Amino acid sequence: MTRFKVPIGPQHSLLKEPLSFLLTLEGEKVVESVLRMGYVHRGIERLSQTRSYIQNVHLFERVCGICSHIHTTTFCMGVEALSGITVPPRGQYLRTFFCELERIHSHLLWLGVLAKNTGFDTIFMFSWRDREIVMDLMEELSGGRVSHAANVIGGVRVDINDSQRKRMTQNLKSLSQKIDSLQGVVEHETSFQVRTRNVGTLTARQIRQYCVVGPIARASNVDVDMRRDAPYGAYDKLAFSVITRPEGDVWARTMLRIQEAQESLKMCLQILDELPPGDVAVPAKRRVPPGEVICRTEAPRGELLYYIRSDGSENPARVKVRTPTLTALATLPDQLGNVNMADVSVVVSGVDLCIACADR
Amino acid sequence: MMKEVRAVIEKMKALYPNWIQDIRELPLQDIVIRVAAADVHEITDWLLKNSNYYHLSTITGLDNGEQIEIYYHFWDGNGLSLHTMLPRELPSMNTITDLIPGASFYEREVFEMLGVKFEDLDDSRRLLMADDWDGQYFPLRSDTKDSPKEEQK
Repeated sequence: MTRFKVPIGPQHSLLKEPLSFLLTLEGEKVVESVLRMGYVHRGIERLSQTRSYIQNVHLFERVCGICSHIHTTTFCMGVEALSGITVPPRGQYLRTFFCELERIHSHLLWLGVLAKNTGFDTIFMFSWRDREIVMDLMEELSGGRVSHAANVIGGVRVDINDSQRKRMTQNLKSLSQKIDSLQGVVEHETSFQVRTRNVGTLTARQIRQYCVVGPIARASNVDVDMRRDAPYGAYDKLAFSVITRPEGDVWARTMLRIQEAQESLKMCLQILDELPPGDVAVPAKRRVPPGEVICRTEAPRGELLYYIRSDGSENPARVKVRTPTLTALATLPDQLGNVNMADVSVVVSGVDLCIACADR
Repeated sequence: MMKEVRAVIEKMKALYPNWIQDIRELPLQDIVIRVAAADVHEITDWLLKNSNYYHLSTITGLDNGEQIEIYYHFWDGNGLSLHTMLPRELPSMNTITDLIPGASFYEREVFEMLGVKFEDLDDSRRLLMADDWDGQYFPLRSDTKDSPKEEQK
């Protein structure tokens, strides 16, 4: 049969950020796909070596436009560990609060993108409408919808008062009902299931081979979660369960992320309920003692790793960032093998790509 | 938690005393072992077969001005990193993509950023650098003068 080559990207309506696939088609089936990235490579790792630690907090916030808070959390955690600073409990709780709000917002945003790409615009509208509750909440606390600049080395710069706590608890409870109804649609709506069941399936073996992390791994029954395996922030004091599913397809990832958003909501409510009194931050020195540290956290898309080396000066000697999307990208050629051309959009959006993250 | 990593390292030490040159502990409970670049492939193979370490978080490369340092960050609930040194002139080492296919992206990135050649890498197509990149300019090399700070001077 004649083979056709179809380029998708770097600029394509399917992708929100630049990435390119060169698909080889045999009839309607994809037989080969070649991935090319680097279109938004901004040289952040190199740039960080010329900035002070304080400036770098703001630089690493800009690695990602969705999960910006987890990047500063990881960087600050690393620098705090090197400097021997302990963040006060209230600071830890508030930091974790933002992490979980960000997870809800990221999962709802992704659900909207997937629904749009499967032709299900109603879910797209509803999930993005509901996401605004979280966005408003974060804006009220920090002044920013996406770049919160909530973290500083030594703690956070935001605080919650009692009237805000009450109102936020109410808002989050109403969001919980809305996510429930979204889950009902995903679980029972036939047209959504037809598009997403048995599409882009990854086995646990493939997950291990490609070192995939986060919700994609958990949807293929690989039980990994940094929040439980290596607790940071206030996670050791919070009650939550790590959700796994056995199916491994796009539908399982959808369900898993919705359930995770519900777990995150529970954690947020618990944080608002148990928020300890006291300071939110402690002062930190400009210079960081020489040393190195490897810092792992659970971003909305999975394990995020920072390697930080200090030579005792005001600037870090090396910061390496490995974002979770990079591991997911490695599986795309496998996932795209032998799928219908019409399903490419579902498979690609199913892995929750964040290209700016992966390129840095 | 750290006991399990220690046990793996002790086992490794008993079987292959030449592998481990140095052990050091980092804050946030990570253990780094210094190994020779030529042993990395064998050690990875041993780890995959004899321990729970299947997950390679990433490969970090850095240029300290005198040598190129490469870290392999493994994870199984505890962090274990292999640390190895390469010369700055024509650095090269064996690929581990035959053992861990997921390492491909990391190795390609280390090549493009630092110029470390990974022998027998199955896929050496360009990943991050531009299409018109000459293959001579490595952004993370310490003597690469292109950062904004150096331009201002």
